[in-house]
Amino acid sequence: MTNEIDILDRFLQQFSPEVGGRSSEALTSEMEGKLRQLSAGQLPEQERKEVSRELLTNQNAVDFLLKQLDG
Amino acid sequence: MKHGGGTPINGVPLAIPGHFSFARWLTHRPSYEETTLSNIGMEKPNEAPEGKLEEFALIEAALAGDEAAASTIRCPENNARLEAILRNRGASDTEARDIIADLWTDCFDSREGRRPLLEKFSGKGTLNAFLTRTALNRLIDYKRRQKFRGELPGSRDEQRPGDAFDALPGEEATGDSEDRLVGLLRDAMLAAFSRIDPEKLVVLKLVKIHGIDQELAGKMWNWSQSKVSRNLSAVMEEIRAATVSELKRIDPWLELRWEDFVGLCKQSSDLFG
Repeated sequence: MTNEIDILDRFLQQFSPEVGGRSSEALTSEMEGKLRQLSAGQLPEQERKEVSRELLTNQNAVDFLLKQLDG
Repeated sequence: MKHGGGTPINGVPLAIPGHFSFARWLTHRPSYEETTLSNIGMEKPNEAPEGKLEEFALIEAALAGDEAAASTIRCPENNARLEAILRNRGASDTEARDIIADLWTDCFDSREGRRPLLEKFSGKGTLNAFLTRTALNRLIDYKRRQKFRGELPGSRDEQRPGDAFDALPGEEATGDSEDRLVGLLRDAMLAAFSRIDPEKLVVLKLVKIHGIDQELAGKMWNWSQSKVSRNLSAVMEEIRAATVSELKRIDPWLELRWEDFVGLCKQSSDLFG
């Protein structure tokens, strides 16, 4: 399964970068706050969808979240 | 036929440069019952340099007019294999036969100002994969043109198989970086992903691509680890089902299985990456 999703993700990054998570839009401070909440397991359920969409399209959001988890 | 001092094959010595071995080529005997495209070399884009040199030597010889080399490439086994692949993906017997016959012609001949198809073989992936991909592209193109012609007012009476096959474009029209297959795979995947709950998709990506462990993902989403695990399996199954369903919606005649889809995605990334 890991291999399959890796393959699909690589394909999308390559052939549909605008939806493959390569967008490099700067994060708003509000979104950063929500990502911090998510990393701490404190993001309200109703906001998770919005944050999830951001994570699917904005690589900066993923990087920010991963950094929170590392810290 | 050009004769030279190379390895004899069927009693005929060939002039193939380097350390080319026909034996290796000839000993490949694919089964015509192959069920997935990954069985035909698509999953081995980076073949060992020696094998690649052999393929290039064979192509070079064939394009230089060596009939034996050309016959090796379009041998009955390869012909049957390619026809079988097209039939298994939705082509009729006639369509498969005609598309592959045209493919062989275009492999070696310059037609209407186009270069021989084999000149376009870049060495990324195997020659088998290149031929298979080209054949699939042509099948998709043919079927879509057939559908389009069928939808044109008054076009039904004009449909003749010969006309339709003559209208098949060369690969120049398709472009090297944006072929029919890439467009089909991308459209199906995007449509499928749009049907999936974004939260489930994000958790799948975080765990399977970014290596976040399931327990941590569970804490972030306030899910139990078993719920995370169940969701990972479920969302992958949803992706499979939605993708296959989208493929069917886009090209209803096409018989492309999930394994084919994944194999073609991988091959596309390897070829154009």
